[in-house]
Amino acid sequence: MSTAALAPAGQFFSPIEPEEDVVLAAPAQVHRRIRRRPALVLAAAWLVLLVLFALVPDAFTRLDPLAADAGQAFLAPAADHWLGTDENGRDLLSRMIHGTGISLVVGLAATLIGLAIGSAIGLLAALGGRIADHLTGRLLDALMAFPDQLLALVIITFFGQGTTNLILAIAFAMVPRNARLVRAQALLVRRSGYVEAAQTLGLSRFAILWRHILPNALKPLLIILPLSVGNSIAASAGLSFLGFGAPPPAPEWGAILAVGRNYLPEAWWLVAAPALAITLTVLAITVIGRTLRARSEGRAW
Amino acid sequence: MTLLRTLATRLASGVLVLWIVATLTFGAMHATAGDPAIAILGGPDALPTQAVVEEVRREYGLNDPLPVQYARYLGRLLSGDLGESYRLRTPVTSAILEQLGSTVVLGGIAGVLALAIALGLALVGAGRGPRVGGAITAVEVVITAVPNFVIGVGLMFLLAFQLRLVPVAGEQGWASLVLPVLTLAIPSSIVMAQVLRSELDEVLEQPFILTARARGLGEAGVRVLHALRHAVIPLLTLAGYVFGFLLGGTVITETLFARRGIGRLMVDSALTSDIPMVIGISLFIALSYVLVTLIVDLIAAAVDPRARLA
Repeated sequence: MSTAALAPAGQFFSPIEPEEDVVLAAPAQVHRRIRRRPALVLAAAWLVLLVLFALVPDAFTRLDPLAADAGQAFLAPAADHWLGTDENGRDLLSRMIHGTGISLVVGLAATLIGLAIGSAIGLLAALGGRIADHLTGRLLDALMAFPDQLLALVIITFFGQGTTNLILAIAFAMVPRNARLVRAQALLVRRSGYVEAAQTLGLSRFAILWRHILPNALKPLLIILPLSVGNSIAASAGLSFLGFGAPPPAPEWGAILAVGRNYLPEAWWLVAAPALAITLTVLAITVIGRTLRARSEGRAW
Repeated sequence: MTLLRTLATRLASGVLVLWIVATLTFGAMHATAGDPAIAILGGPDALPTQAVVEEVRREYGLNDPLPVQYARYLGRLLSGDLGESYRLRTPVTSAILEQLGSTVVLGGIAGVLALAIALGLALVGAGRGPRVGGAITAVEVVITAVPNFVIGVGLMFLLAFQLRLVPVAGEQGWASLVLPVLTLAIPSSIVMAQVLRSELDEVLEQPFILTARARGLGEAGVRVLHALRHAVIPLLTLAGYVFGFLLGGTVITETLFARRGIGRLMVDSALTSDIPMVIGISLFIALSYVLVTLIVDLIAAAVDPRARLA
């Protein structure tokens, strides 16, 4: 049902008609699809731009994100500095472009780690017998008692600050929900016909787990994977806004926003640029994520 | 009788959750926090002599076997003693209680406002066909994509700096509550409105709605008097989540608007690695979450007989 969730990018443009899934569409057809889902196309374009920013930042700006010049401080957006300059006279556009990579890396890494730990716990709960199920169930109950942001702060307090621990903190906050989803799905899959067939064929327990149960139990998580990446990027920006990100000179969206807040009346661009960038990124990922989820459920949106 | 049994099972699982949280924090404290004796003396920078460290170890019972320390830890927690803050040098319990009022006021007002907004949005927007429904969904998706600190800074710029209607930050008077309350209420109201609206969409298709309409009841009457009652029950089960959502939101809101409160206390404690305070707040939050879900479960069981079986 949800192979659509893993479909190549070209298919996202077609909302309902699955018979058109062969993406060798004529230009006119592509044109029509773009007109029908402009939000989806804009979202994809923005994400492609971000990936390029992250991979080759120097292709987009020749200015050094760390080069301070007190004489150039607080310049409003103009031809020389498209997004203006910050309190130390650094070019804001350059800082935003160079800060893209860290946001994307933190979002992706946290999601993948949260996925790995969550599915391991979920599988253990579903397949490890009643005692394992009860123990993990109560453990997850306990973790669910904490709002995500607070759980992340607890983890940072114990493990210390820094980007790696920031990623771990966001990842751990995702674990309870992921584990529950995988557990519920694994319980269904375990009783399915194909697992029974594999057992009858005499496959080893490990082979059944690895080849049959794991890929199918992960499906509900994979469908919401893009949405989780969006949430992680927002969470990491929030934590770096609070001062738990990379230390000051590093260009980080949340940190730029936190500093800009102090100069809000005089230099609105210091806040507007990171606020817009974070929001547009989360929104773009949400639009694509919702489309994937809807397609996997056979809906248009 | 069933209500009593529900109460007993929920109470037992709540106590279990608290015990696990206490055990986890004890384990984390001993696995990662370094030497507690040195932390008590003000960290490694304080350069305490070996004799002083030994003295503190004896005094705090840090030389005892781990199970003994664990039992003593649980005993202290049961008597409401959460230890002493490294940073503030005051008991954690009194520090939390001092900050609690501010958070309760902020979260309470924001919660009521969010509920009112959600009810309004859902009652007006439900059952309007795919076109209006799609437009509302699109607006909801856009608003949920805006992180709460962006909402907060945006409101601050607009209402405080441009229009000069309210103070930028601080806690002087009711006007200073406007920005933090809105920042906290807007995202939560959207979460609730989404659930309420999809529930109302379904309820409005039910036969008893048709009956009500056939009796000549107006659209507003149908929605408020008949549909809403049924749509509110799922909202009740969402209450624990909304509680956590509001509480988590205070972390950003209280810091951004320079208010006192639990969220701000948590940020300051995490920034300074004040482990007893962070653990204390964690246990306190777990306790309040358990209590809130317990109360919500009981209300749900009282309102909806089907929930008693769960």
